[in-house]
Amino acid sequence: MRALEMLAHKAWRESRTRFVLGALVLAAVCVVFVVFHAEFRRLMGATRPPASTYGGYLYLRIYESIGRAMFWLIAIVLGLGGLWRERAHGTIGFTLALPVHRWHHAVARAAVGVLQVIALALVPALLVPVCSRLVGASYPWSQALGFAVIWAAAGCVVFAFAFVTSVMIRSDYVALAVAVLGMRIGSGALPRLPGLAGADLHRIMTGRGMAYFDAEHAQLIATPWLTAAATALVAIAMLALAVRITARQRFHEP
Amino acid sequence: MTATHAAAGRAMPDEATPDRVRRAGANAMLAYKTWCETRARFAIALAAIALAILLAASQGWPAGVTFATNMWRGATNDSARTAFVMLAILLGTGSLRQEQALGSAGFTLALPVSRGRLLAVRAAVAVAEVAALAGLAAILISGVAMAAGDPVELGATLRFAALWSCCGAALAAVALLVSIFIANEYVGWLVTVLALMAQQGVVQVTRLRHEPLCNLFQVMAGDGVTLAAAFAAMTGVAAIVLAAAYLRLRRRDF
Repeated sequence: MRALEMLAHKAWRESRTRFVLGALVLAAVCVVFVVFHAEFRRLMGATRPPASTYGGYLYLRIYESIGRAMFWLIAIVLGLGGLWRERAHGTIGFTLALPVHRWHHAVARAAVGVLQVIALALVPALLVPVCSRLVGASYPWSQALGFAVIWAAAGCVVFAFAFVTSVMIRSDYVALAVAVLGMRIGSGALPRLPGLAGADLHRIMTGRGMAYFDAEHAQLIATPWLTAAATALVAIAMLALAVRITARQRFHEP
Repeated sequence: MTATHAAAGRAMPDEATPDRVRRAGANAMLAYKTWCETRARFAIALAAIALAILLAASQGWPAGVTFATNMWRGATNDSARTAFVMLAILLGTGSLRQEQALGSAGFTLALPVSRGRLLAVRAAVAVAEVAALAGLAAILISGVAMAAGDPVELGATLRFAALWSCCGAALAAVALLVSIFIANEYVGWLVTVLALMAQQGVVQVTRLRHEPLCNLFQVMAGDGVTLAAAFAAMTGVAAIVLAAAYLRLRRRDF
């Protein structure tokens, strides 16, 4: 247990810049969209709901477009790294010399990454209602937390995909390219396959076309625990695969 | 002079070779080195842009809009355009800063060329790769449009390819600048993408929205901009950014 804690600390040290940067940018986007909502809504010129309502405006700007795109990219970048990267940087010898199983490294990094993704999903959930109150508007906590639940679950899948990519591909840049484009193209292509229509992560995150979302008012009807649980299971399966691959890999010089 | 050369009454090749030829040889070798470093990314980029376009083609497009218009202008589906932007940033990323982290900067700096030359060749290869990417997009979009019975004029195709290339070159230059400041590949890429998103956000909510040249996606779509103006603006941006990169690189202690 102590070993896992130390490895988690190591994983945190390696990824904290990415996490802090991502959290700050996501927070800044949320705060800017809430604080300057009057100006932005005037510029949008929307006269019909949901865009004309405060909740609809926040949904369109944060939960459907810019905020979601940023969260998606940050989750991908958090999933990259790992032992191949350490090998390229010449530190793998020190890491593998630690008296722990190889899969401990992967488990610790996955656990830290998942916690970071959950923390990122909570950023809008905490900031939007609080900042809304400060500017004299209101956004329901239930909506913010509901979106946080599905963002956390979908974000874990995005993170897990990047994690698997980083375990399988040696080059940093190639892993980055495959993770970003694989998620982008895959999320569009996968739902087109028979029986996978519900596997569209964009739809799960935005709620568009889902039973738990009211498109007319741009709000969640209920917190989609079942969808979140199913999505989280997919993420866990992908992370387990990555751990298994890591345990069997050989990192010695060719 | 070696004995052989002395016997033949000839100078050694190095002495006989004019500076111009030696410089061209050095540039070619540096370009080859850069190509070796980026070719995996480039191959992934080609595959990804092809997949994005073919996926968009398989999804169909609305009546009244041609496939080519849909793709180049991003009328309803911007997956290929967004993928191109992300790939251009990826192709531009990577500099001596990352080589330093990998431990190979010493070898590169020991080459008998200036840092300015290293930067210029790196930028030139990135621009060439971005242009090739835009060229592939042009060929595929024209091919699909032709297969769909709605061929595009060659002039229009070349214009859009040139617009995408100009914008891609500017993005690659910005990515190169960022990678000189930030050693971590993932953080550098993320910062560039987030900076672009922030720039787009600022343009949309300020008076700059009335200036088409300030909106990268508008330039790529050719909305309200001439090719000459787009070329001048994007080349200017790339030149300024690369000059800043050179100033930073020249003073940096590796």
